[in-house]
Amino acid sequence: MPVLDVADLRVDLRTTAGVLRAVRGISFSIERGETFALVGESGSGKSMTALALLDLMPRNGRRQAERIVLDSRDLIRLDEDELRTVRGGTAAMIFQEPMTALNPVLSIGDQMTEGLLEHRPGTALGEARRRAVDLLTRCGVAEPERRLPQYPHELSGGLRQRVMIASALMTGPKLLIADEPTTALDVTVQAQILDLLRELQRAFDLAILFITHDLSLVRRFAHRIGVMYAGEIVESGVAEAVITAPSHPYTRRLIACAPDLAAKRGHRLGFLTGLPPRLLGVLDGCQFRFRCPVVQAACAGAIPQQRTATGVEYRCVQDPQGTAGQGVPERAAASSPHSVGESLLQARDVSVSYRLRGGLFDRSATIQAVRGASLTLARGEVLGLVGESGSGKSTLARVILGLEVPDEGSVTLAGTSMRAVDRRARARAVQPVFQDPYSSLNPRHTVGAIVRAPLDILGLHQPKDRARVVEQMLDRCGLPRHLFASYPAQLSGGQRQRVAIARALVSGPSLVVCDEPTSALDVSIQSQILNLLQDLQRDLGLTYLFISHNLAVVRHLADRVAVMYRGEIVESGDADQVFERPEHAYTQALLASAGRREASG
Amino acid sequence: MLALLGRKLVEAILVGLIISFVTFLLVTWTGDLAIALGGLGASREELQQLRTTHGLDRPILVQYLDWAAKALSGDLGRSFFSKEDVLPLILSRLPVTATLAVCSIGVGIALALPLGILAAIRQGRWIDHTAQSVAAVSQAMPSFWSGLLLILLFGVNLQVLPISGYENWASFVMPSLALGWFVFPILLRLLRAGMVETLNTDYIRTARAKGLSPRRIILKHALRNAVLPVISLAAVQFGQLLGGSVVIEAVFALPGVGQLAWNSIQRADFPVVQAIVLLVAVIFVTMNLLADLINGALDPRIRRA
Repeated sequence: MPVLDVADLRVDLRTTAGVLRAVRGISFSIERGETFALVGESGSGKSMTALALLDLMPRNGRRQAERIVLDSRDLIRLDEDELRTVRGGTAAMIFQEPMTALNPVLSIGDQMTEGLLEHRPGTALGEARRRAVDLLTRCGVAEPERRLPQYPHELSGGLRQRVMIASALMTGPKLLIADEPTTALDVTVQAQILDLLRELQRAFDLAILFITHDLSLVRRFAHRIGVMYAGEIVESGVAEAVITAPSHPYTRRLIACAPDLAAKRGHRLGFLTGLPPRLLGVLDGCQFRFRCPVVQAACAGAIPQQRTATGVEYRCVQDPQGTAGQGVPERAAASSPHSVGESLLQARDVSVSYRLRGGLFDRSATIQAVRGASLTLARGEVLGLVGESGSGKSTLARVILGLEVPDEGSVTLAGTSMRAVDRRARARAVQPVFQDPYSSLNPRHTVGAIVRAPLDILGLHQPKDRARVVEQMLDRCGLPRHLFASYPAQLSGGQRQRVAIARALVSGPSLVVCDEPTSALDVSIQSQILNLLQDLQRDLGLTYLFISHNLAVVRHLADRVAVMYRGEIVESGDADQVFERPEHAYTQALLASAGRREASG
Repeated sequence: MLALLGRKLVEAILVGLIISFVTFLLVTWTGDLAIALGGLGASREELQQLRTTHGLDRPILVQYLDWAAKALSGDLGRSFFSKEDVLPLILSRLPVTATLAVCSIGVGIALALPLGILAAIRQGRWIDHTAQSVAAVSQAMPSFWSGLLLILLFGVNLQVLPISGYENWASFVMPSLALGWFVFPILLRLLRAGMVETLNTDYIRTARAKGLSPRRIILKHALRNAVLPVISLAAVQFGQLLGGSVVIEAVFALPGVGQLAWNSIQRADFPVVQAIVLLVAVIFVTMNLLADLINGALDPRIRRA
């Protein structure tokens, strides 16, 4: 008998625009010791499903289900007080952001023990604390006794997630619901946390519901996968089968969209056009049909019934064979190796330190963000700068953009020192594309005005020609014309990033510094943006400094790679060489973590 | 901890001296103290005489440093009007004002705390709208008017409370209600906003997922975070109240510091005014320090070794 058996779960959210069907009749079950992963992009309903099981949706949410049987109790028939005994009792949850998921003003010990004390009144505090120490030890936390009086801000992200996991296991739950538990963590820490979860699963015979947007992550971590789209599970089955032989067109596309650490550069990623549908009102037919490459007239009819293929179940009106040929993305369109010219940018022995400001009488501490980093970029080249959070990669980028004056070292652009160049000349030559398209565009300016601003500021082109130049650039970046007069808030994340790219390129810079440009985007949108960046680079002969924590993305795009660790560039060289024969121990560890994350078993 | 306290104390004294210097300048620039002392009918010679005896003919900076040096040693001078020493004069008025301040801030917190929490957890429902409307009304009512309304109700119509003067605890009921009614809206707004924000955080979701009771989630997990800025504000408000409420002490004829300040300003009793300003400044800084200490005790991120 499965630990969790969910049948026909639906979640509606009341919004000002109408009733949003966030989860639309999904069914799944999880056995003891099994990991079932719900995979999907943002808005697919995966997190809402996790919250709905224990009735923890936002206040505007309502859930319905035929049954949600957990450990032979039907949760749909329990009242709020009975449900509270299940929450944190039979079923425990861990969340994405270890930074914010723990209460900042309560001690670790307090937060770990309070659940147990609530669920088992009469438990002695000393006993609860002993159990906490025991579980912290099992979760690989060093000096567990010392952690109990500590507060969340005193622990690193990885450690906090270990504390969260240990805390979740305090009551000996049968089901662990893990909502993106590793998404906010660095790649080396991610691998450790996944190993830990696997180990605990074996030790406690846990059923795990694993929620993630990252298909590559679940390939071997999960036993079975359900792929969610528009509030439905469109395909489910044994993990390996779903990923190697997907039957639903959405799954096929999603897999094709993800850059692959093992693939050489130059491939073109598969992509999904358009955006997910808004799930308002009455919804007919297959909701993927608006983006489906193999759509037919029948797709608009009734919601497709579940079909079974080799090891997977999927909802599509077509046979998997029928979609096979077209579902595979056009990977053939590999770009020819572009010509690499003379040296464009040289950074030599750049060091940057920050003073941590104390109060009036406090002694200030210094943080060395970048230490003696050197790198060169040739015209027409893509240099990938890789590192984990706090490695100094963004600080180095700010120096190259001229936004930060280094303590030591020099940056020369096309032979002239950055210090000798004035602000305008520098802005003509180097432009940034930042990670967060939500905050890097002025919310009170229209798209057209945002992209035009650099031309006005730098006095490029005749004023009467500027509108045309802006339009051409936006066309080139693939933004539909009817959006030119819109404000950033009216655009999707991918559209905003297209605007940010158009704004960076409109003044014709030779170097573009891309700082995590796709990290805030869904996989299908990320692939659109990566393809766009690749096209623009080839067509306009651009040079990119491409900064990312995502090794697969860098692998996909970069000619050369530099690896940063604790403010230093520890290794740099040809991308193939660094990825296939890493020399520095840190690079090896980084690649091992990423590889283990994707392919461990 | 001791170092922090010492540092804050030095800060408090510095702030007090700077503020009193500014008052010093303002007073000497806006009027002739000799005329205030001698009266409008005083002759030129009499005025000159007064200036010499009170040292008013010296440069302002010298006058100020002289005053400041004495003030630091506890000598705040004598009242021009009653010739009493200023320090005992103010200290005799302080208990009335302090009692009023404690009761008023108590009323304010007693109103704001439950209403703020309720409004936040029933966000958008009738209780939330009611609480916010009440807050808007109370903020829009000048305290002298709410004071007069209270007098009309309890003093004149029901005749259960004394209308004015200082006799016993009953004298404080209406003034405390009037002042508490005036300070509560900002506390309520800040607490409600803090609670709404906190209730939407990830750690509250974690607490709910642990199966904790709503009471525990609200009082332990949410309130401890939401109350931090409220404490800072309440401390500032309390400092303001300790400086004396001129209006309410006038309406209820309470012999507090506010009344003393008002009378002294009218009589151009410069040493008293100057001393009250210094007192208010020091109280203010001390209250801020107190708020910092309480926040430090509640928030481990502020607490530092």
